[in-house]
Amino acid sequence: MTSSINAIYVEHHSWLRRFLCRRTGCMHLAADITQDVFVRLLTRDSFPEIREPRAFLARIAHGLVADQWRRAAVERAWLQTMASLDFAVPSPDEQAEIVEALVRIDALLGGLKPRAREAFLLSRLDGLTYPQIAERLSVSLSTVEKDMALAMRHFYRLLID
Amino acid sequence: MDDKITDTVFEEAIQWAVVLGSGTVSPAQQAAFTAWLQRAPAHETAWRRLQEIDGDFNLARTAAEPAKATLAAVRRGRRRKRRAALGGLSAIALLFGVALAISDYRYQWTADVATGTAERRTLEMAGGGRVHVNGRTSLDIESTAQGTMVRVHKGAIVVQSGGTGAPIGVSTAHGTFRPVGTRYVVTRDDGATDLSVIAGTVSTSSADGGVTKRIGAGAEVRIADGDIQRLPATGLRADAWVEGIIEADDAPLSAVLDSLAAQRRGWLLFDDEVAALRVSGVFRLDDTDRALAVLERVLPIELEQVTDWIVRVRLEDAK
Repeated sequence: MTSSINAIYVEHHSWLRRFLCRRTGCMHLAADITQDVFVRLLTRDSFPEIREPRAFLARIAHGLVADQWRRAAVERAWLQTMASLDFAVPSPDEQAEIVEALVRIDALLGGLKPRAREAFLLSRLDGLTYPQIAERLSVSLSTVEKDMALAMRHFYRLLID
Repeated sequence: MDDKITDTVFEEAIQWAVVLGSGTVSPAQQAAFTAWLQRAPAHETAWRRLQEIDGDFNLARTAAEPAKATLAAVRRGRRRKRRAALGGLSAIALLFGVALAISDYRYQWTADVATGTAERRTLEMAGGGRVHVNGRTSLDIESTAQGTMVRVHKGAIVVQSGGTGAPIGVSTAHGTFRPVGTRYVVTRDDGATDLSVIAGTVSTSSADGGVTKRIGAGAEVRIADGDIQRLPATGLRADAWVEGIIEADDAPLSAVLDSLAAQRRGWLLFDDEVAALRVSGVFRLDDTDRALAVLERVLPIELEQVTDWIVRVRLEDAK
């Protein structure tokens, strides 16, 4: 596995850097993302058979750039929330961990239908029971159960991808 | 990787997570779950994978209120952006009846060569010959046993065979072009691919291989839906953009404006009466504002800068 990554690195890393340079208009950012793409490849625990290495690398780079956007949006929203409301402020370390978790949660929740998303958050963040959630959302208990199963199926599909 | 988790096992794990997450679990349910967990190693693996999600939620739960406020704010921001984009587009489309081609983002991202607006490039091919690439074009280059194949996802190219190298063929979703010592232009749009042969002949096949024709110099054809149709003359020299110009000979103004629009950011909008006007002349692609000003001077048209991004071309008021 490592040797095939090696081969991909030798053959395609200059292409990827040029390609990202064109895409982002910034040489340094392109070099950073290129590095991150290969770090990401090396730390993957499964490795698909790669038939089109360039499309594959570009897809990972695209994901990384999207992740950066998401992280920036979550960080901004978190800081605004902390500044605007009267919350107990966690320590900087705790905040950093929570923001990381929220970045991943935001990615997981994307594409989930609003009611299932709401039900799942009420269960996992507010600690409500299903009967309480059913009452809050004005739906039946079995609807809540179906939404919870839907959410978990959605998450799992994203995680194994 | 680890033990194979079948969909059935995973679905069972989800059902158990639903039961245990309800907040009202009976001792009998708890015992049944423990029994299920111990029945097979795959059950435990599936369950552990499912629990990985909980780590992040448990962490966020330590600050549940700001966590929820943050997630909601991120979502609001995203929705606002999308609505702004959609609102802008539909307003334009309604007012002017413009069909907007959403560019194929995937190819723009992964193609070997992708040009931006008003960016033209010339590729020197390994076996001799050149490929001129117009703006807003994306393509991949493949070496095959029969020679070089250029796969055009979007946009326009001019192929100039040369040297002793193998011929340079072109393919799109609609068809395949194999040249016999020649110069030709391939333009790929959403629903069709157009071919203009400038010198030599090009063997042209529809994508499904159902129709093949030899197209000679001077002819223009369109391939769409597995059929090859001859196009009426447009009045524009098909490969003029390589020299950075538009060469029109009694061409409909719509054809000239479309060519200019492809070189500009934003939109160039025009009414049907404007589209039908005829125009002859040479216009430079690198200064489309000047080209438009020239057109405004010689034709009964008026330009209106609607916004920074939108220029509207309409018939001059008959006063």
